[in-house]
Amino acid sequence: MTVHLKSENRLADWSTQAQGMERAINLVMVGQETAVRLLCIATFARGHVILEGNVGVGKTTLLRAAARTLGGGYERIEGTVDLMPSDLIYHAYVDTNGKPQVAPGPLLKHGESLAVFFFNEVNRARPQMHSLMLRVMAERSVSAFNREYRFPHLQVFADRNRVEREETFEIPAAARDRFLMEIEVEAPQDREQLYELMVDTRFHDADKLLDQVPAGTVDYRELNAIARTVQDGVQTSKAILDYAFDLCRATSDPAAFGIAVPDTDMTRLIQAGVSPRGMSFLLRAARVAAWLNGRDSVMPEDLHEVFLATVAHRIFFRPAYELRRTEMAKDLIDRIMRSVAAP
Amino acid sequence: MSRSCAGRLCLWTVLIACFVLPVVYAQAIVDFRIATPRNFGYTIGDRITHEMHLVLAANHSLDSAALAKTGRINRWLEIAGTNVEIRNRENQVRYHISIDYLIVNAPREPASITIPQHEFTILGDTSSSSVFLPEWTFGMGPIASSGAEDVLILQPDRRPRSIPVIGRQLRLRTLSLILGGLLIYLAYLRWVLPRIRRERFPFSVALRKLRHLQRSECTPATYRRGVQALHAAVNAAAGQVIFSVNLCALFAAHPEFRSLESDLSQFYSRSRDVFFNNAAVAQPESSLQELIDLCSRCRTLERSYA
Repeated sequence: MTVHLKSENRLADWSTQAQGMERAINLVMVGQETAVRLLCIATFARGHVILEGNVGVGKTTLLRAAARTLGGGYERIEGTVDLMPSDLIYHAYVDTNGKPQVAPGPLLKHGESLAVFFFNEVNRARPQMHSLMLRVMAERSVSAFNREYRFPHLQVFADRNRVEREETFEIPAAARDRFLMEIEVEAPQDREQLYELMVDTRFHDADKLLDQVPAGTVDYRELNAIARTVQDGVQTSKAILDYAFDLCRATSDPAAFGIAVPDTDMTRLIQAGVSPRGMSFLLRAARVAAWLNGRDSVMPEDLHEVFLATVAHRIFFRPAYELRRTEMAKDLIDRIMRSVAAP
Repeated sequence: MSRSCAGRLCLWTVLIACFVLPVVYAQAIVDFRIATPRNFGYTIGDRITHEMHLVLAANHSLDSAALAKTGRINRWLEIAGTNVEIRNRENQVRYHISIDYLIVNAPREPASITIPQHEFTILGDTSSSSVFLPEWTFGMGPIASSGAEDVLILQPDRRPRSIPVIGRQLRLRTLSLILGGLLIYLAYLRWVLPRIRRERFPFSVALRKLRHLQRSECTPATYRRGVQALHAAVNAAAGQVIFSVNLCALFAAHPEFRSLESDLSQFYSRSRDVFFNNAAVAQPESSLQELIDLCSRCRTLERSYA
């Protein structure tokens, strides 16, 4: 009982910190409350995040703000077509004495204190890079210089813009599945907010803007412990587990749940639904959502809050529909949430 | 019996002079023959025709006043008509006389009836003479056989012959059939179909299920099934899955349920506790009854606004 109460108190303390982190990011992000909330959920679920959206909607600013609130080592790399895995591991140069030197690359530079690795325009990098990231994300470790480097606090943020498709490399399914969430970032729809972004000089200089974000709102070294406590502390009833299971199954066989998308052959729509890893990620994210919502049990709305971001990028459509993935996934998930009953 | 038939059946009896000579003068009558039909098998309504062929010498004629007059001649017979044909040829006068007797009565038993003798007067220049059509007896029977009393009593009138109306009847029956079918179909649309539909309304289905659950042993599991039944009804009514956070979607689809907003909110709150917070079901029986009451109210609204 004492242990339980202690755990509850710690969860409450951390919840305050998490809300502080969310508020801090929202200070510099206008009209991105949903994306900020999802990013916070991913952070406390210890999951990697990929942001997708149009150019100039604030993806990078959002990730930088999140990294600042966590503190710890922060590295950023731009995805380019000639970027190779070694570029992340080491950096070769000639020093002032004219001697060739090898220095740790961005991935190794901070050692175990690396908290956020920001991979900008990830889809511009070659598949070799995706393979490296796959391992880093899955195992939080990398082999270099005849030894293994571990990054216990690492969270990978990646982003890609959806405007340009030329000279890009689609992230393989296995790598996509490693991301806990794919968060869509849209420009604010509210006229006042858009207007504010245009005229308020505060938003014209991103570096100055980010200085306003309190650094280290949450100690990145505590994140793993917080995540474990949240996962252990937030309850999931049999009914909610069944519901989450049905939601995931519906992504594989929507027709079995009576779900139909207009002008779509439902028997030929899905190539693969949510993987078992995706199922567990969904539940993990839902527990964090419930915790951030001040509950000690997961409710259907917690699942709904994270369902699209956690599941959409794990559904693989057949080629005929893959080109319309963004709209199709959103529509399908909306229909799943409106069709699968609980209890 | 027709004349031709009578002619086929009768035997020509030629009465030659040996019969008539005693009563006529040989000089006046050149030829005299009588033809009668069969003398049996008659009954009321039959006709008997006697034909007489008489040839007279010149200067003689038959007294037309002596010809048989139409009318009743006795209890059994009447003369229905007399026809006389006269032709003059080679100083002779030829008479063809036919007398048509109608049988106007019927005996109770078979009987012999006699047509009485008839006398014809022949007029000469200076004198007159007679020729006789002798009496003639024939057998006549009753209409019905003796002893068959039932046929003697008054029989009902014969039914009038029916007009051939089969075509009309067929059309009438077909039309009646179509109209009947149409009426049945309209009744089905007006009363039966709405009733069937009402019974398939979500809350009607849920209420039946809840009452069925109520009849079984009431346990927390039974109560949970009842809650699920009511959830299913709400979802079906709204056309989407409804949770406590989107109850407004139900009211948007069916504003009539807004009057039950507080009850439905309580129901969803209770459901969350039971299903998602693992709360215990303290009194499943009364809780199930509350579900039935709520479902019943929902069904009333559902039917009112259908």
